[in-house]
Amino acid sequence: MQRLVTGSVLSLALLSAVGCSSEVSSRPNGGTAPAGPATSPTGTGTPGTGTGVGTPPQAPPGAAFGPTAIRRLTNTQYKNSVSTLLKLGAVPTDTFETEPLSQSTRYLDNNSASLTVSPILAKQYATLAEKLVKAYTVTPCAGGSETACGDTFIQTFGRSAYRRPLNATELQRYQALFAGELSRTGYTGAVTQVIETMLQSPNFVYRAELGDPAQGAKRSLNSHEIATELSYLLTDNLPDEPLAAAADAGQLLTVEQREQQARRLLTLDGAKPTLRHFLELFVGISRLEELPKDANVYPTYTPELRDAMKLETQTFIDDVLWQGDATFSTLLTAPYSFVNGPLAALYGAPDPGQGATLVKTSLNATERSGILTQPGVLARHSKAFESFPIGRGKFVRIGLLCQVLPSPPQNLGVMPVPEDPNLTTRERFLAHSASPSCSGCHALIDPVGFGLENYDGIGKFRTMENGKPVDASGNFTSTIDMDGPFQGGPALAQKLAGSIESKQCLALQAYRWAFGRDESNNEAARVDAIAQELAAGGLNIKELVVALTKSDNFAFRSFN
Amino acid sequence: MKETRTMSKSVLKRRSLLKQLGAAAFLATPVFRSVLAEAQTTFPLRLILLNLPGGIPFKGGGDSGGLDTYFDGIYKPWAALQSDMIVFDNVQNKAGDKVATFFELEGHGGGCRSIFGGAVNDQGCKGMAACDAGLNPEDEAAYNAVVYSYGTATTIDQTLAAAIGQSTPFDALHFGTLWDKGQGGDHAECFYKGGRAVRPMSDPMSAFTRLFGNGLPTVGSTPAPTTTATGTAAPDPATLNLYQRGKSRLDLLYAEIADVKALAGNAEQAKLDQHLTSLRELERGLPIVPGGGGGGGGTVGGGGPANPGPTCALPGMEARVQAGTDVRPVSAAFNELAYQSLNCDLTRIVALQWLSSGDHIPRFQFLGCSGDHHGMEHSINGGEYIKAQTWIFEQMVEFVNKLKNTPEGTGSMLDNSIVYLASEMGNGSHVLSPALSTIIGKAGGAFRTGRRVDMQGRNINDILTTVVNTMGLNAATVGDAEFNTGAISLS
Repeated sequence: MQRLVTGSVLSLALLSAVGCSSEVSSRPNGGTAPAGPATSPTGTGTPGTGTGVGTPPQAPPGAAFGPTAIRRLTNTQYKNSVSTLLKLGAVPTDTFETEPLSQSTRYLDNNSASLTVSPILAKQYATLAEKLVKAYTVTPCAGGSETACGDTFIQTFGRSAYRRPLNATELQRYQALFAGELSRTGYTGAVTQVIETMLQSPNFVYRAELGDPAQGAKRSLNSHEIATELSYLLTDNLPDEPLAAAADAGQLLTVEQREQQARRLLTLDGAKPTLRHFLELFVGISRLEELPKDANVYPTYTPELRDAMKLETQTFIDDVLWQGDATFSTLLTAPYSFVNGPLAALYGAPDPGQGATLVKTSLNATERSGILTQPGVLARHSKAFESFPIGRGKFVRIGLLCQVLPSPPQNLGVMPVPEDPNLTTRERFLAHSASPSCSGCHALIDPVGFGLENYDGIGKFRTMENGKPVDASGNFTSTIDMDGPFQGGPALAQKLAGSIESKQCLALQAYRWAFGRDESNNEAARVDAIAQELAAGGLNIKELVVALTKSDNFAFRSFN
Repeated sequence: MKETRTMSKSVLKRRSLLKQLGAAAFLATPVFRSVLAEAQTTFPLRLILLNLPGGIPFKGGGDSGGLDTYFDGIYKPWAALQSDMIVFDNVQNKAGDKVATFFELEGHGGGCRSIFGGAVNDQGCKGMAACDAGLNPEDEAAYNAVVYSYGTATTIDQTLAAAIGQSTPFDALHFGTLWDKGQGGDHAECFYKGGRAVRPMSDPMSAFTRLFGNGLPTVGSTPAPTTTATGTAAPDPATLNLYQRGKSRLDLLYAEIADVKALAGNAEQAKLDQHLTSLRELERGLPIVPGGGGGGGGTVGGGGPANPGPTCALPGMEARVQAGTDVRPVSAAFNELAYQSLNCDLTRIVALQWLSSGDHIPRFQFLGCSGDHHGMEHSINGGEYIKAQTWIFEQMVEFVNKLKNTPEGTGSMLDNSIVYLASEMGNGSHVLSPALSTIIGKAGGAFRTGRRVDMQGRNINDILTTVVNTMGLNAATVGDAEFNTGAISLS
C-alpha cells in the first residue's frame, strides 16, 4: 500500500522523478510511526508535593515536548475574556483584525506563530478598552483610603485578567500607575486606568506557557498556566472560579486533576461554541459568509440561504456533540440534519413550515450522510459556478485525511477546463487531467472528488447534468485503510467514518488546534495512539479533547 | 502495513544547502542620506512597492521566453506612463526559485517571501536551535520551523523603515486589498522583519482610523494651545491629563513586555518586538502637549506631518473606506489611503498588495470572470487571467496617477518617488523566473525613465540594491550574497 509523502519534504527533483505515485506516507509522521519517547498519551510525570501552589512535576526523562510559548488570544478568546472580566453580559462585537488561516497548521486560525499584535490590532485593543472603561461603573471606595481600595482592586482584577496573582514588581507598577492617575483625575479615573491598561497588557493578551525557568530546558507548566490552557481550550474564556481556585491551590498538577477539570469544563456553556468552532474549521466552513457564488448559475444562493447553510452545520455539530453520542462516526453518518424553508427546497424535502427556524429533519439516506454531504460544506469546496471535483478531492485528502499533496511543479502551464454544455463535469475534468504531467497527482485527487458529483456547486443533489446521467463513482488509493471504489457521497462518508486514518486526522487537527502549532513526529505518534484508543467507539470528540488534556504534552514544555 | 519514509534524501539535500548559504547579506554599514537625492530635491524621496499576485503571461502567449511587459500587450494600462517607467527584461529571481523549492514546493508563498528580500536563509532563523542544528528529519516540528522560515529575510521596506522611517509618524505602511481572504494567510505574506511577517492592513476603515483617527490633517495647523498672560503657550490641562494617562499606561506596558521577553524563548522574541513597535505607534498617537513632550506632535494620526503636501486633505474619505469583500471599493479605498499617507507625509514607505495569489474565492464577476484568482493564475493564457491582471494594473495606474497629478516643485510627487512593481510569480504557472520587475518614477532625478533595461539574467537583488541605495542606504548587496552582482546605474 502506498501512502503520500508530505509536501514539506519532497524535493522538486524527487517530485519530477516520481510525481504523486511515489512511495507515500499519508501523514507528516505516518499513521503508525515508531513510538516516541517513553511517555504515555495519557500522561505521566511525578506529581508535585510542595506547598503553596504545589511543586510542579518533573518532566519525564528522555522525552521531547513542544516549545514554550506565549500565545496571543484569538479574537474570540479576547472578547470573551473582556466580557467576563467586566461582567458585560454580552461579548463585544467590535471588529478586530482577522486571524490568518495558517498554512503550517492546515488552515486553523489559532496558529501561535501567526498571532501577533500588529499596529492595527494594538489600536483596536486600545480603542475597545477606552470605550469599555468609559461605560464602566466604578464601585466607590467604601471605608479605608482610596489607595487601599486601589490596591485591592489591582490585585483582584489583576488576578482575573492575568490568570494568576500579580508578582511584587507588577503590583508596584500598578500601584504607581493608580497613584498617578488618582492625583490627576481621582478614584474613578485611577480604577479605569488600571482596567484600560490591563486589557492591553501582554500578560492578558498572551497566554504564557513558559513553566519555571529554574527547571531548565524541560519544564512543567505551573498550575496557573495549566488552568489557562484548560479554560481556553475548552471554553475560549478565562478560568472560571472553580478552576482558578484549583490553580491557586496547586490542584492541577496531576493527570487526574486535569481530567476532572476538563470534564467539568465540558459541561459549561462555553464549551459548546468552542468545540463547534474547531469542527467548523475542520470542515472549512468557519468563514462561509465570505463565499460568493455565480448568481447566474445558482440564483437560489442568496445570503439567507448561505447563512442557513452555515447555521445548519453549526446546529448539526451541536446536536451530535451535546444531544448525541459526540462521535466522529456520527458526525459523518447521521441520517438527519436541520432544515428550514430555503434549505428544504435545496434538499428537495418538505418545508418544515417554521420560516427561518431550523427543524431537525430526516434525510434521504441514499443522498445524504452526515456533515460531509451538507450543502455548506459541499459549497465551500466547490467553485463559484460548478462542483469542482479537484477541490473536493483535495479537501478529503488534506482536510479529512491530513495527507499533504505537493503543489504543482514549476513551469506547469495549465489551461482552464473548457466549458462544454454536452459534457458532465466529470467528463470535462477527466479529459483535462489526462496529460502525463497532471495525471500523477490528479489520479489521487480527482477520483475522490468524482464521488461527490451527485452534488452541484451549492450542494444540491443531482442525478443528471447537461442532459447526461451523473457518474458519482469514486475510488481511493494510497490510504491506510480505505483503498477501493465507492459510489456517491453517503458511501464516501461511511468509508471515512470507518477509517482509522480519518480518525487520526481529526485527532491530529485537534492537537494542532489545542496547542496552536504544527506537531512534531513524536507528538504525532502519541496523537495516533490516542485516536487508536478511541477509535473503537467511533472516536468520541469530547473524549478526544479530554485525552489531549491528559497527555504529557499538555503539561510539559521544552524551552528554546 | 508498510511504513516508508522518503524524506531523508531531500532533507539532507536541503540541509547541506542550508549550511552553504550564508547570512542575509545586507551590510551593516552606517546609514546615510542619499547624497544624490538630497542634492536634486528638497522634497522627500518615497518608495512604493506594488505587489501583483500571480505574474503575467509570456510574450506571445507561449510557455517560455520573456514576460509580456509590452504596452501593446498586458502592460497596456501602463502605456500613458511609459515615459515615467523603466521596464526590466530578463530578470531572474533565483532566491525565489530556491525558496519555492524548499517551502513545500509552494511557488506562490515562496515567491512572495523572496520578491522583496531576495534571500533564502533568514535573519529570524538565526539563533533558533533548529536552525543552528540544521534540519533534523526526525523532528518534524524543528524541521518545519526551518522550512517555514525560508525566505523570511527582512525585506527592503523594513530595512529602509528602520533606517529612515523615524522622520515620519509611520516608518512604513502596508495595504492589502483582500489579501488575507480566501485562504490567503501566510500564503501571501510578502514582507518580513526579523523573521516575522509584516501583515498588510486589510480593512480600510481600520486603516483609516489608524492613520487619521485623531483628526483630519490641515496644512500648517497645530493644536490650539492655551495662551497665558505672558503670551507663552501652556499645556491645556485636559490635554495634559490625556497625554499623561496614555504615556504612563504605555510605559507600564513597555516594562511588562520587557519582563515577558526576558522569560520567553528565542522564537517569541520577534513577536514581542512587533508588539512593542505597535505600542510605540500608539504612543505617537498621544495628544501633543506644547512643551510637554507629547507623542509625535501635530494632528495627523497623532504625529505631525513632516511635510504635508498642499492637497493633504480627506474630504468625505471616511464614507469611502468601508470594509467589505468587494475588491473594487476596497482597492479604491486603499489607493486613496496610500496616496494620502504619502501626500500628508505620514510615511515615505508604502506597500500595496492586491489579493492573495492563493485566493480561492471568485472576485471578478464584474469583469465576466467566473473563476477565482488562483485558478486564473494557473490558466496562464486564459482570458479570465488577462482580464483580472489588467484590472489590477488599472488600479495600480490609478494610484500612480494620483502621484503624477500631485504637483511638487517643478514636477510631481511621482518624480520624487520610486514605485517598484513586482510579483511573486513570473507568470502564474509556478514560474518565478523571469521575474516581473518595473520601476515607475524618477527618484528625484536619480533615474532616467522611459526605457527598457535588459538585465541579462541578473537577479532582482541587483535592482533591490539599486533601490535601497537610491533611498539613502549604502548597501553592497540585498538578500543572499550569491544572488548579487551589485547595484546598477539607472541615471
